[in-house]
Amino acid sequence: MRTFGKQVLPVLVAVAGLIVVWDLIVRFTHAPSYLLPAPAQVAEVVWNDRALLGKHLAATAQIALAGFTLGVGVGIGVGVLLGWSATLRRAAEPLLIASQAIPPVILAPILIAAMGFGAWPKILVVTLGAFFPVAIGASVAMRDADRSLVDLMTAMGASRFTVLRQVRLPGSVPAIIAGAKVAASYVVFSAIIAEWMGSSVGLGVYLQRSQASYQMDQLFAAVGVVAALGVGLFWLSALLGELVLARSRPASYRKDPRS
Amino acid sequence: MPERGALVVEGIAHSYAAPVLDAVSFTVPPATLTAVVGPSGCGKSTLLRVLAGLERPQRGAARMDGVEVAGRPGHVAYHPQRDALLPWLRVLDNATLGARTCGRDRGEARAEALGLLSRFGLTGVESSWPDELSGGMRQRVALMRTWLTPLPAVVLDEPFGALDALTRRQMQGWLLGITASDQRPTLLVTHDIDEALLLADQVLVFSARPARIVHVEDRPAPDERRREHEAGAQHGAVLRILGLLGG
Repeated sequence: MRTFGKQVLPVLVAVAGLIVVWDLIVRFTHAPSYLLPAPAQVAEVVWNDRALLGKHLAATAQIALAGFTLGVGVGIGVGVLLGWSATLRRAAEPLLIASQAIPPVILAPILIAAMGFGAWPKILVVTLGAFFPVAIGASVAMRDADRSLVDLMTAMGASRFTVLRQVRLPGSVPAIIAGAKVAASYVVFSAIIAEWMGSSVGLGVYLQRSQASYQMDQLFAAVGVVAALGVGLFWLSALLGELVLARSRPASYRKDPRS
Repeated sequence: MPERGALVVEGIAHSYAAPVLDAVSFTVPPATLTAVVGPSGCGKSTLLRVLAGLERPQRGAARMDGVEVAGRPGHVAYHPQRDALLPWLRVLDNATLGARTCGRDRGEARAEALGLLSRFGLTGVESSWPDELSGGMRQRVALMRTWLTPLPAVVLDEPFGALDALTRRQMQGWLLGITASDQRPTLLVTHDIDEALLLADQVLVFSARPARIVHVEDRPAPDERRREHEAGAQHGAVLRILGLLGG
């Protein structure tokens, strides 16, 4: 009950407030429904279209989740490698940054052309966006590991690999989780762009069709579902992060009285 | 040919931006403790870092049974000034970290550590996390880790710094008792002259930077030192060392 009061209630109040403001704007400006549909109208569309929206939602969620999982995995791997070798980091960093400069709008058609209309090209687009914050966070944390702990292990005659396993990697867990949360906030966006570029199912497709036929209420319904999916994924990653942190217990974690 | 099992330091010199150590030479015989006292920042910790293999000395050598140890990690059990406990390991895993890193069997090391818990005043906290312990308890876990690290020499950088007066006395008593039976040469850096005179068979007094040895105070046998300490009869030696330190 305390978590409900502290964590869920403020969110519900904020969302309700936003809907009320939206409704008031529609009422007072007499905006036509083909420009700005009222909340009740959008809710009706969500309800009537629930089967179809559910199907598209499932497809998008699948791509976003798969891309997120793969992205976090690849991000940890790349982060460990870059934290391991300064030379490798200097060589690879510009390439990693270049990989983030390629907009998904351009990348998606290339991958789809090469790999067909299956799920993989879309998952890869999501992965490319998701791995970066994890890789950068992990490599910086690996490099900046607590000097006194590294010295202690070194003096014992530990190999670089043992230092990595015992000190650098466990010490990077908070940074990896922070990177994963940032990644979770863009995976839905990349999944939708990828679907937009070539797909037969997914919220991106639904959005595109609604837009093409000027169905504003459908468009708003889809935006609402997309937003909810994004928040849901972020919460899921935050929750998983909390569980991992509670198990690995870096000193910085338990002392924070907030949240 | 030096004694078997002695730590022999020959003319170690080191500098960072400015010279820190100026040709320091001494020998720590096996089963004895040598203390180093000196002004703050005189390079005592640097000497230990060199012996622990964390810094390569610019000149000089340090040998254990003919094996070079200066600037080469993995020969000396090093106790850093900070307790350096791994926050993600429980007390028992921290205490056995050195033993496991040096290739000892995990179960064996844990069994030995469990047997030492009461001695270190850590009974009942073997499964706690380091951040649940007081500073003094953390330091005792670190001491236990140093003791269980199976390397042929021990170097301690202010191991009792964070302890309260009572625990400090207990741990000093323990160290005094264990040095002779442990067989390993032990080097102790401390700010506390009384502590050095109680624990050490030999006290080296360092000058300010760049550090040289300005005086070697030879001490009587452990029992005699303990009596002296309890009777407060080490005043002469304390005053002599304070004089050398300019205090």
